[in-house]
Amino acid sequence: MNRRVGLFGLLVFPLGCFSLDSFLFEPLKVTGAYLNLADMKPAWNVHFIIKPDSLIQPVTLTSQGKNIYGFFVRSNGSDTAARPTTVIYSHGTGENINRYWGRVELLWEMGYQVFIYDYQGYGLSEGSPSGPGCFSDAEAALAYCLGRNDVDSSRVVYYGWSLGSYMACHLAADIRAPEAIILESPLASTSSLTREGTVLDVPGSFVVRADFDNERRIGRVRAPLLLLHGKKDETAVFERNALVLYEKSNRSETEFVWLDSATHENVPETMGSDYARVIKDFVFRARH
Amino acid sequence: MALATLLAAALLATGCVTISTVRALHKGESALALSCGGPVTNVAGMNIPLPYAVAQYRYGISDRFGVYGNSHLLLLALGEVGLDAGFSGALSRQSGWVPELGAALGLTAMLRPGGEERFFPHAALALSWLAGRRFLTYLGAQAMFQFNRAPAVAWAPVLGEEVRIGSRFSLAAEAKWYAPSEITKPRVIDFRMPIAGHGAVGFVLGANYHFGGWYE
Repeated sequence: MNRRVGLFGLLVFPLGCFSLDSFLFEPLKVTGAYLNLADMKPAWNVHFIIKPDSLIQPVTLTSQGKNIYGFFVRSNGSDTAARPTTVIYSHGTGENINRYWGRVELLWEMGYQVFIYDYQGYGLSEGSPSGPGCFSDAEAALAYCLGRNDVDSSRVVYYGWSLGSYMACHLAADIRAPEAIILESPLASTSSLTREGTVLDVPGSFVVRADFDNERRIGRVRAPLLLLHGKKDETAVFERNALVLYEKSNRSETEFVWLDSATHENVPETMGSDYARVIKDFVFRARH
Repeated sequence: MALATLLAAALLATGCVTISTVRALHKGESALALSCGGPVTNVAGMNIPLPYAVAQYRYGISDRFGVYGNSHLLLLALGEVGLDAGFSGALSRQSGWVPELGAALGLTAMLRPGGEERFFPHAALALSWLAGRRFLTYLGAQAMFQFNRAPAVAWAPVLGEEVRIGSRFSLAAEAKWYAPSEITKPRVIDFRMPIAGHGAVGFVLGANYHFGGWYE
């Protein structure tokens, strides 16, 4: 009998606590320097339009004792405000800053200053990505921007795409209310992802340690919110993500654009020139 | 997104342990089972069943009725506690080509120490035919039930074969159709083997050890 108990005990003995958090992230390291043409893929729609180069300032920050890297892109001057709006761009799960540089260009063309940063483990940033690490990285990005003389602290917009929506929401709900927040193809929560897999109401915290829970945070965001989402999105399914967030947000301050033909990756491309118009109008209304 | 593929490793849904264990033990007998598998999805570029592992211990209270306990090994590895406990029994015994009808009913508990917990009743029903005292073919279904604000059933029809090797050991292989009533896409998890656009086909392998040997 003791042998049986011992055998069973061996089978149920905790195998060591690990989590699936690493599967949330798909970082790509940069071996040389950022923004090399050779590292860019055509689908990323990078056109190297930001001129002169002096507008692009490489930045090194410290987050959880690790060096992380980003770029502060100064305005092209078309935002006529004395000090233009600054967009803090939290990117998605894949690749690194290179992959999102085309998006930075779009926002810069609108006249905004843009700060984009790589999470720990992405690009040249040290360390490995994690939920707390990403939040810390976003907080470091915000602190950096607020510390700049050319940033008007009342005109800071948080922009998060996909995974980056967790960081944008965290900043807005937990750290500092922005002038406005824009979530493109956002994810509702890790619990929402888990529910999709299990059919049952299994908390995301059972499999992922990261506190990625926009469902919980979105109602605490005290700023105008713009949701952009494609109904052909098969990564963050519209009904289970953007729609959930819309319903849990402060609807009086929430605007949305639902795109019938857009996927997870191509919201700006699908919107075409409307992308700039919608964002500029939204930020303008938030300002006034 | 890679996250999608392995978040599905949390697919606690249905049929964590091979259903062949529904077949009743005799009074005083006990058995240990280990199973691993799940729906086929893309993991690191390969289409493979998710490796959801469960250990089970069963004990026969009478010749037709027993108790069992399962431990969800993958959840343990994730730092959670996943336990099943329940009763199983033979509703009717095999008689010639008339199969044995076995059933199980129990409760699944998932606990995160210091955190949240979930409880799901579960049930299984299986017809099984033992041929040549060695080959057990079975057909059945497993289900987990959710009775909170969003009632749901996660169920799976099962077809399997258990081969008894020697006097105490057996191996089992099952094909399951997970969540056949659910539309597979669009869904963040990349299930690779839906049937008619529904659910996900998966495979589970099991190994069983009967401490008292076979009684049939």
